[in-house]
Amino acid sequence: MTNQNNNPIRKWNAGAIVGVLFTSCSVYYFVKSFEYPYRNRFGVGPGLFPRWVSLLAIVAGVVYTLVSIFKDKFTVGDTFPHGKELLNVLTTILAILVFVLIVKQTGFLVASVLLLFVLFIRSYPVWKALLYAIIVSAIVFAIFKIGFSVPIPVNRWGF
Amino acid sequence: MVEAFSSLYEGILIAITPENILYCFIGCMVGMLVGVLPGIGPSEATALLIPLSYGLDSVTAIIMLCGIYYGGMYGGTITSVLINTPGEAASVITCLDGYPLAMQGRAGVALKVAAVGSFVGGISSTFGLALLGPAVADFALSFGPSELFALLVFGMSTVIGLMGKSLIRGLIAVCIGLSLALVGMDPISGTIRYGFGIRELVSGLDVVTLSMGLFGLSEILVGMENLSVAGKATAINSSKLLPEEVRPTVMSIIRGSFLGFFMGLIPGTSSAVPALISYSMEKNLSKHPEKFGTGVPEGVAGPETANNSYVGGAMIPLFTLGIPCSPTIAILMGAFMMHGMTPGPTLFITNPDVIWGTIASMFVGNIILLILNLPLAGMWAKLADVPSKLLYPVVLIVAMMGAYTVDNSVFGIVVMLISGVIGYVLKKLDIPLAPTILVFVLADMMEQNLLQSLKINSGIGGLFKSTTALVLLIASVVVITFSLIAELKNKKSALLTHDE
Repeated sequence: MTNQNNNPIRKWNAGAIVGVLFTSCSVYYFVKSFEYPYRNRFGVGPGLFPRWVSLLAIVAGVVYTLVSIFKDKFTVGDTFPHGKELLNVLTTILAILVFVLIVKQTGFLVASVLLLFVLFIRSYPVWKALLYAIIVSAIVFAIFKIGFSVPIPVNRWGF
Repeated sequence: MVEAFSSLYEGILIAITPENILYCFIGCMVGMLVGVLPGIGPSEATALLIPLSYGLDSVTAIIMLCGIYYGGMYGGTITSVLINTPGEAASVITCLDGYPLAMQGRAGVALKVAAVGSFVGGISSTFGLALLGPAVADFALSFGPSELFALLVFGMSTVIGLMGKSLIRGLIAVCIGLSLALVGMDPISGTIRYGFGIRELVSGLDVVTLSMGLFGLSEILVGMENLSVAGKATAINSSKLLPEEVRPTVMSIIRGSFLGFFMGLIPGTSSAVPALISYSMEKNLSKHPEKFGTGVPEGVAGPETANNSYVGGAMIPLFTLGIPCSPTIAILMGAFMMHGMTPGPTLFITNPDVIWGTIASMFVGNIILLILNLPLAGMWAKLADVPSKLLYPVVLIVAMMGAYTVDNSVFGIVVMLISGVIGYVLKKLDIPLAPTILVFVLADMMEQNLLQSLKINSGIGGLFKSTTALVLLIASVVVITFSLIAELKNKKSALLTHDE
């Protein structure tokens, strides 16, 4: 706990960081909008709307950053979870990424069992986590593939 | 009016086919189920379950999705009353008097007045929708690009003004929605913008996938933080109103019906707003305002009626103008488009079967929900005992499958993941998500009408030549100004709303 409290990242201003990131993306959008003609033979061109939208976004981003620095301060430590809670969130994101990478090769059922097992194992004993993962995956597979005829990804054995 | 009733009759014939009744029932059941589960509200439920409608006929699909929407509104009430845990934002107010009633052994009273109020609100607003819808659609057909653009600006300004705790956070959410909408082909010349060479981005981002990420996945990530949450339901005993409680309860239901319906017409509100205003109004009109918060039936009946009546009102701008007034309606609009229909004034002409079938199905759905609610409330409440550690992974895999089936590609899951992480960060920073999705849906229409107006009128001046457009633009400035003043005076809390 002491280590977590001493972690300097936890004192960073999350609002300001997001504000700067948002403003940077808006500046990129604004620069990129010059690639699209502001006027064309039809009159106004496809560059008009992006130019004004990104300009509005830059203004909003700068104001939000300033408000985050001087008025509504959200520190990383107070805003985002840490310890086990953070690990739960990161595990979920990572498990989805792994699912995306393997689902075409392994098919839905295997990828789903793996994803659910990784999530269930954090709260259940191994055998229960595996059992739940298999049952839930099989039900979802049956609902989508058989019940709603959705073309979900399958392996060479049909699952 | 005769024409409206004749069309409604045609709609009833469509709605009462065995297949449509079955899917309306499934929609209501699923909506109730997710409404009961804490953390998953109507927006999340509708977004996550749109893929279930893929294989269905368009009328049946919309009927089922609408069932999920108002079923979710009903379901949220049960957990508010029995375990003091609102299933969705609009039910937060129900906790104030619903739970104290349950603690007094009068949970049955709270659930009964909530169910009857929701039923009356739902039915009366559906009548309002049937009567006013065609008239508004006829009026909307006279709108040109300038008027439509001004109307969309007005909608956007109310979204910025009414949602979230601060104007600047609302504006950030709007800018995110607008920026995301720029990805893909532009609506006039077909130029591909911000495609980054990715083939899947040529047609732009899909509203359903985006909603699943922003609303569904972000909620799952918040839920995954703490997996040990589970409630315990209170037993249901007495369900009879005391004689002196009957009149104020009936009056609160009548007032809630009107309030919810008209609030539904205002873009940027959510069902939580009429619920909140109804509670405040009932308290002010009551002879014993001090008892509010200790368990009075009208404190439950008014807000519950208002938030269900809101649903019918909110359908009018969608069906007649193609403008979604709330996040859930924006997601429903995505479903319309997915099934090959464009919501707007011409929808009454091009797809009358869908419109009137859907409107009529709301009567059927409300009756189904009343039957499901009154005798089975205790059974529904047991569902709230499902532990988060089991619930969230199951919802996650269903959502991922849904995202995959949008265009049968893992790209949908990647978009959902990225938007889910963005939604999670925005939630943590108290930036409202609803404006993002509402503006995302409206942006294409907004750009198209702006460009057409500029072309027809040879410049921006044309926008001010039309009286309707001018009035709407002035109204937009007024809304933003008032919101800014209210924020500066710190009086905005009365209108403060969560994402639906």
